Amino acid sequence: MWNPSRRQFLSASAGGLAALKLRGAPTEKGRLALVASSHSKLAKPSPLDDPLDYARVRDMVWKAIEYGRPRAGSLEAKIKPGSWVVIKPNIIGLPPRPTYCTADVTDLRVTKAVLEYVAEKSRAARITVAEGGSYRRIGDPARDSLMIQNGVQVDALTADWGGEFAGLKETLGAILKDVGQRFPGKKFDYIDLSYDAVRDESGQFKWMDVPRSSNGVGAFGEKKIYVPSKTIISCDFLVTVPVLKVHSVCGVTGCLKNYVGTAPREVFALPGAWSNFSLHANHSLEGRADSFITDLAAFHPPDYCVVDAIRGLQHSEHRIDRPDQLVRSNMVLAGEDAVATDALGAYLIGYQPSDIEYLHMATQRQMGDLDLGKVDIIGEEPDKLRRHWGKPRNWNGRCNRVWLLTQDASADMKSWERYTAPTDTLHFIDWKKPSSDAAVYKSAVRVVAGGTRKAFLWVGARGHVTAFLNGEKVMDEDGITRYRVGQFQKPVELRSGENLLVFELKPAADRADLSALLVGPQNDGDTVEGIRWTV
Amino acid sequence: MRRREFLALGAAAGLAAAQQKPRDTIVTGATQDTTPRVGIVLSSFKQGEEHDGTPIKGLDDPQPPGANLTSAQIDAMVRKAIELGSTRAADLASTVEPEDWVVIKTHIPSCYGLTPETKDGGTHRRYIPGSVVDPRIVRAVIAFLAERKRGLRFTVVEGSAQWLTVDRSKSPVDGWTTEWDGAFDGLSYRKMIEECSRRFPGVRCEIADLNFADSVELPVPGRALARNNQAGVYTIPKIIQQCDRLITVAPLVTDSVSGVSLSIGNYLGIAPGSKYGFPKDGLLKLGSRDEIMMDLFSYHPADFAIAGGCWGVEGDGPDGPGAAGVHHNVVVAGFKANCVDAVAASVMGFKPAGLPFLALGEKKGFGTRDVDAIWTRGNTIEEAARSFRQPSGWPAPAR
Repeated sequence: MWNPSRRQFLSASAGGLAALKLRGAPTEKGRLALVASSHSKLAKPSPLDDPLDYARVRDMVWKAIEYGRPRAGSLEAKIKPGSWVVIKPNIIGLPPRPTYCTADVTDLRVTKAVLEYVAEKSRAARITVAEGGSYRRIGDPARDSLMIQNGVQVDALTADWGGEFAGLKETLGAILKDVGQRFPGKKFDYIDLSYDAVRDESGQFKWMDVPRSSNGVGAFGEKKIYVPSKTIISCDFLVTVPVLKVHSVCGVTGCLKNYVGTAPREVFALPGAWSNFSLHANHSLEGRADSFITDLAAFHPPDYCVVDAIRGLQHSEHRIDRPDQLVRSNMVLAGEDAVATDALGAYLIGYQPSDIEYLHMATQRQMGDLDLGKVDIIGEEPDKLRRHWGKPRNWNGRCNRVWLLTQDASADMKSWERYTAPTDTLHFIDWKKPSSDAAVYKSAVRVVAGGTRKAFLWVGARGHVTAFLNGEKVMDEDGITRYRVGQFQKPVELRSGENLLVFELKPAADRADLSALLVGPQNDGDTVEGIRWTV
Repeated sequence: MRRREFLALGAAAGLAAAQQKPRDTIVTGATQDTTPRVGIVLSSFKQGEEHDGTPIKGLDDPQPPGANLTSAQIDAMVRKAIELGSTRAADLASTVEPEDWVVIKTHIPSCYGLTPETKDGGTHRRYIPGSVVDPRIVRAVIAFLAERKRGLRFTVVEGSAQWLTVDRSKSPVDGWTTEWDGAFDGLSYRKMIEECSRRFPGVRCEIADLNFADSVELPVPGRALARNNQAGVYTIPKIIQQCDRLITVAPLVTDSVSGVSLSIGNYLGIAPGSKYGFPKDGLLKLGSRDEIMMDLFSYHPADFAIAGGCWGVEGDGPDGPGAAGVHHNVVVAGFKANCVDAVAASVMGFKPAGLPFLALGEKKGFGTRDVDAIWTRGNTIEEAARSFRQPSGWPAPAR
């Protein structure tokens, strides 16, 4: 069982703690499984660079499900008799899609192992594998986004993966057929979620509000209504089975990001391209995908999670023809808490979980617990397996959100107003219009560091910004072109204990925007370890 | 994908679309096309065709590759190369947003008009026609974007190891103000920028000398390659880190150390002389030239790369005794600098596989060096080829 150090705890769970204070601590610790191929309790422990075979992958998955048992006692106990269980892998692309490469999708061996577990152990009546990828299903008359292998159009059900998954040569369709024969009392099928939009009685797409959580949290996206997948909202039990990899827009793709594949492309694609274009265009929040990831998950939060961390992609979520992009880790994660599972996944590949915005949003929705100190991790010690994967270019962690603000240059800081920015960017004008043409906004935040820290101060500014750290001027820049987080960077040293950051910002072109982030010594966008923001 | 396969694929995809039935190939959405594209345009480019047979319109006023070109002819050549270097998903104009700060890293290592009497800083090596970027090319890039309301601020930058700006020197001229003895229509960079400022009044156009610009110490994104740079940190101008888009423009120049110096080699000019000295000896102590240029490139990989112009340098480039100017009107352009340099090197008669810096760039994800995997558009490499005399002793046995 892994207990994080104080430093890890501080950095990984600062945001999680804040959320917990809002809703009270859980009464029982959740469990998360982390099983590596070398785990001693496996039938045939194997090195972390072993290509594995199906029997060993299955052993890892089943062991992870055993270790990561839900509060109900077991996965099969949580699945009620007669249930419709949906297993949602990530099959975003198929070969020979140009952006496809190994580890772009969930290892089919992991999907098969989950399927077999549920088939064998549970009393489910129907088990469906469901996904909506960037390829047309067979029979769609459109001519774009067809995947053709050896002259024949394929989809997720029929695609031949070649030797992609060692020890497994079957198609997904063959796997479903096989389990159907072995478990005749259950129904097995595949549903392409891209064509599965909820429709009203007249057959039109049915736009629905994002369900409010019991604490009243609704949609995060700029557009608040969605057309979800019929299967996702109708099934009784949903198992998300993602592949763990980096993501250019939201940092990490895992259990919750996997829900993007539940958005029916028949609703969200533009003609001629089978992508979720309008999901990104209309449901983002200030250009980030975190909002609609959380919103889509809200229609049916994961009932259980199994994460394929056998092979993943660094630098970018899809193929970029970089020779070192593929990373083999030979791990499987499992648990019922999607937020904690994603937090652990993020931690294992070198992120600060508290930098992942959608985990904060999901925590607000009570989907789980971002605080890894509050769950028991069974199997391996995460610190021993943690690696620092290459971050996507332009990645940035979560900026400070809670500020003290004033427009009165002479006001004592004690009188400054507390303000919480909902996104990385503090839009001063949303707080208060400038009091005069010469107005200068001032903002302050304290940074508590668990020891001296070398860091990089990343600032985004619209306007002329001056930054002071513990009274010393550390930055003086003009933000007159496109605003972006981290446009201005400066090495700084934080002292142990409390540090005070103060910004002065003079608006430019009637806009006054600011973001601030303290990045670690690698300057790769991750928040420096061992700090927390406070006012 | 090999070039031959790619050719077949393009043709097959066209047929598949026309016949409305699946073929033994990939039929994907436009945004999924990841094959790097590089435009090659000789001044003689009359007409070309895509791999599926679609015609590509040529230049309106084609001229022989050895002809002296007018400003208008150069402008057209650059614009055509930019157009052909675009991908299906994006062209240069759509990549640059209206409010972007666009930095154009030009290449002005030497300065015409300096004399031994004015050796008060820098190394003042001899000026060889072809060693610098024609300011008319940079003007064409600015105009291409500004006409389309793309970019709010354009900053043309260089940090030469050989000359200091006039305000820091006794010299009457510097690389920004010299008129190059009448070459380039007598256009200096200073005049060119003033002209752009007048022509595009809503846009800020400026010059910045990187040798003395504000700088910041930052670790190399990813991992530093330069073996003696243990800390993995360089001092770089803040402009390079802060700008939204960076376009690198370099002539076709041979290099005694790297083989060629093109759009990636151009990044050696971002290292400030105020930190690394003149001629930046402090920089070259950190590792091999190839490693250092790739480290510097990593800070802000070019969003677009242009190599070529009217003149280049062959022999013991960039400025050795055996170096000489070459008149060859060709522009090579694209989004992936490593691919642009691989194609440009091929045009010059070098084998990309024999250029170590391209291998480093490929490893770092800056694009393939395999020209068979690059979709060249416009002229073919074979049409554009002009065998540049290689540096004596190249490749060096130690490499």
